[in-house]
Amino acid sequence: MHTKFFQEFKRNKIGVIGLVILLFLSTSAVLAPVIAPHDPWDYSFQYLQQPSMDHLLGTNDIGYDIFSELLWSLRTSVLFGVSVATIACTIGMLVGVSAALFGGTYDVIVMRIADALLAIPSILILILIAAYFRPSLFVLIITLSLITWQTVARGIRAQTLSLKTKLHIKASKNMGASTLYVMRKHIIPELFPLYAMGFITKAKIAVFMEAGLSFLGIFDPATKSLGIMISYATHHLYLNIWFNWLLPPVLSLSLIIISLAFVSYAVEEISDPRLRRYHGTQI
Amino acid sequence: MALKFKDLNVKYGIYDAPEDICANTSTITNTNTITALEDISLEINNGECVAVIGESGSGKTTLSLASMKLLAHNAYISGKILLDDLDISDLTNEEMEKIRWNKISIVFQNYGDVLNPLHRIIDQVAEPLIKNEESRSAALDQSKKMLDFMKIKPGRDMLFPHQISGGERQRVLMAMALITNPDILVLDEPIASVDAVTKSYLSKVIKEQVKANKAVLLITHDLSFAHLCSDRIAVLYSGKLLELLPSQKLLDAPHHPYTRALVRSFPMMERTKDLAGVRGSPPSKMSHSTSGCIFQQRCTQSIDICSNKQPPVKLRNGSNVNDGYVVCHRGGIATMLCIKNISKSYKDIEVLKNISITLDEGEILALVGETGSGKTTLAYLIAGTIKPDGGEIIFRGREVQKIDKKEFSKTVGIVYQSPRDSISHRFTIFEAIAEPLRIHGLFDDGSANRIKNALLEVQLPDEEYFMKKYPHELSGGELQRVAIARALILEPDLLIADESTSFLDSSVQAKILKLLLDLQNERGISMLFVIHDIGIARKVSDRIAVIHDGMIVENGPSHRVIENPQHFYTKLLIDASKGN
Repeated sequence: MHTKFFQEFKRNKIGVIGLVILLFLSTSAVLAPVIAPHDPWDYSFQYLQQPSMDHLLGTNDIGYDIFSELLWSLRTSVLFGVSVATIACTIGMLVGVSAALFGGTYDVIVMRIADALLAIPSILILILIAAYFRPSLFVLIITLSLITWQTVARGIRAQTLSLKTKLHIKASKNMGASTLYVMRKHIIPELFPLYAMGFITKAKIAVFMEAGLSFLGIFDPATKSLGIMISYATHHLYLNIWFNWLLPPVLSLSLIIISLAFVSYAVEEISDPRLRRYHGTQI
Repeated sequence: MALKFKDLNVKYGIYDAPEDICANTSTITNTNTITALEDISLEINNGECVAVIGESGSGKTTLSLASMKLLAHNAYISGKILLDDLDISDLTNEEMEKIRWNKISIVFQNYGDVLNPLHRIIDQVAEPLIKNEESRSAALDQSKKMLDFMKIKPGRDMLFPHQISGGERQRVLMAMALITNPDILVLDEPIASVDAVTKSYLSKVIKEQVKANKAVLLITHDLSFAHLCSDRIAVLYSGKLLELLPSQKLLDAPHHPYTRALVRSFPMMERTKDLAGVRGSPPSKMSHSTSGCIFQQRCTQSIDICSNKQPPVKLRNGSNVNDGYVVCHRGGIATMLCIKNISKSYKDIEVLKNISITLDEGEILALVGETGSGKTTLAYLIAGTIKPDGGEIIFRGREVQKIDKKEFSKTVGIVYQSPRDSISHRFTIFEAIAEPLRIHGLFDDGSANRIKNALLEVQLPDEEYFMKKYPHELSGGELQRVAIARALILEPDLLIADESTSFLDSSVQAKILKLLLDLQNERGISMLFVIHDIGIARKVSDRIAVIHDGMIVENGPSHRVIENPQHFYTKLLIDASKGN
C-alpha cells in the first residue's frame, strides 16, 4: 500500500466527490430497512399519488411507496455490485498471481480457460441462465463472478510477471530482503491499484447488468431493483410521472456508476505517483 | 663501500634544552620528543641505488641527514649507521669531517639558501677538493669539468647562485657531491625543481654512478624517478619502513596498501587512471602512541589486530630481507575475493566458461566486454544473487554460497545501470535510501541523520523537501547519486557498479564517476566496475579484466592492458574506443 493513501485521496477532489456520492448511496442502501418510511412490498396505499410528506416520491400504479422501493432497489444494486466485484477479483487475483508464479502447464491451462471466457459474451450467458433457470440473487452473483474474473486474472498475471523481473525488486532482494518484505513493500503496492481498478470495474458492470436484466424482465420480479422500477415507470410515462417515478431510479443508477468511475480515477491517480498533479509535499 | 642502517631511531626534542635530552637518554619521553625515524634497517650495497619514497614529513630527509651525521643538535639517535663496518654514529664531528665528501657525499634539497650566495658556483663546487688539500687551480679545473659534465653552459660557472636557475642550481649541487668521487652518494630530492629533460639527464648520471659500483641512496617523492633510477624502493611512512620492494614491482605489484595509495597518487605517464590521494592524514608527529600498525587509520584493509599489535615483517619472496618485505599483519594487500573456475549456463547457453579472477582489498577492478559477454552475470555471481554451476567464489576466506545471504548482502553494495528502474517509483528519496536499513532491521532514531549524511556524501541536498521527492521528480544523475547513497548506507566492503553510468550523458557520467572514485578512496572499499567502454575503464580502474565470449581473455594493470594489449579482442576494444 502506498504511503498515506487516504491523505492523498482526501486531496483528490474528483475522488472525494465520487466517494461522497458512493457512500451516500451505499449508506442509504444499507440503512434501507431503517430509513424507508414504508414497507416496499406494501401495496395498500392509494395508487399513483403525487409526492407528499407521507410519500416523498408518491406511489406507483399498484400502490407501492416509490421512495421506499428506491431505497430497497439501491440495496440490491450495492449488494450485487460489491459481491460480484469481491468474488470475481478474488478469483482473478488468485488465478493471476499463481499462474505468474508457478507458470508451466498450470499457467497454460488457466489462461486458456480465461481466454475462452473472454471470447464468450457474459451478458448473453447471464440472460440465458436468468431466463431459463430463474435463479436466486445469490446464484446470479456467483454466476456473474465466475464468468467475469478473467480480465482481472489477465491483468494481475501480466503485472506479477513484469514485477518479477523489475530491477527494483531484484535490487531489494540483493539488499537481503525476505520474500515477505518484497511482497509487502513492492509486490502488493504494485498490484493494489490493479486490484482496486478491477474491483470498481467489476462493480460497475455488475450494477449495470443487474439493472439491465431487471429492465428486460428476466430477473426475479419480487426483488426490488432499479431496472424493474425503470421498466415499470416507462410503461406509465403518459401519466406524467417521469420526475417522481422514472427519474429517481435513473438518477440513482447513473450516480452509482459515475461515482464508481470517479473513485476509480482517483485510485489510479494516487497509486501511480507519475499521474499526480502535486508532488513532494507529503511523505 | 656500502651504507647500512641498523635499527636506527631518530627523535627530535621539542623543548629548548635538547642537548640535555640527548645527553641523558633517560629524560627522553614520548611527550617531549617527536619520532622522526623508528627501527630503520636498510642496506644500500655497492653498485646499487635504493630509493626511499614517502609523503612529506615521513622522515626521508632525516634519514639522508643521519647518513651524513648532519642532524640538528636536538636530534637523538640510537641504532647504527654503518659505512661498511664503520659505525659513524659513534664518531666525533672531526672524524666525520674526514669521511664526509670523501667517502660519502650528499646532494641537499634544493632550497634557495643551500648554496652560499657570496661565492661563485665554480668555487663552491671546488670547495671539497680544496678542503682535501688539493691545489686551488687543479680544484677549479676539475670543478669546471664537473660543471660541464652536469651540463652547466660555459661561462655560467662563474655566476653566483642567485644568478642561475633552479634547475642549474640542482645540477651544481649534484656536481658538488660528485666532485670528490665518493663511494656513497646520498641524494635528497635531487629533482625537486627540475624539468623533465634535466630529470632524464640526472637519471643517466645516477645510473652511471651505480655502474661505477657506488652505493646510492635516493630520497624522493617522485615515484617515476625512483622507479627509473633505483634497484630497490623502500617505502617510508611516518618514520617507519612499511615496504621494501624491487623497483620494477612498484607499479604493478606493490604489496603494502600505502605503497599502492602512493602509486595511485602519483601522476606517472604510464598511468591512465585519475589521481587519488592517500585517504586521511598522517598520524601525529608526537612520538607514536599507537600500539598497533602506524598506518592502521588510513589503511583500507585494517582488521582488529592492526590497532593493537605491531605488524610483523613478511618477506616478499624467498628468505632474504633485502629482496623485499612488507610490514603488515595481513601480509600486504590481501585478496578479498577469489573466483576459481566458475562456470554458468542459462539452459543451453554457456555464459561463463571456467573463469578465475581475484579482487584485492581496496582495489578497483574493471570488467570490460561487449554486451552479452557475461560480465553482468559474473557480477551477480560475485554478489551472491545467482549460483554458479561449477567452481568456487571465496570471499575473505569463506565460500560465498555458504555465507548467510542476508549477512553477505550487507558487505556488498550494488549500483545498477538504470537508477529509474532500480529504485521503486513508490518510494520517496528518504524511503529509498532507508530501504537497506529497514531490510536489515537497523532503522532507528539515528537513521534520519545517517540518511542526511549519506545524501551530503553524494553531493545532494539533505533538506526535508528533497527527501520527500519521488524518483520521477529527479534527473538521471541525481537519481544515480541516490542509488549510490543507498548502496553505501550499510557501509559495504565491496561496491559493484553495473554499467552505472551508461545511461547518463557524458557530463553527468564524469561527475558520477568522480564521485564514485572519491567515495572509494575515502572509504577504502573494493570496487568492481562492470563496463563496456574500455575508455572509461582505463580512467577508473587499477586493473582491467577483459571478458569475451564468457572467458577472461586478458587481465592486468590498467596501464599495461591499455598500452600493450595482448589479446586481439582487447586490441579490438581499444581500437573501437578510439573510433578506428
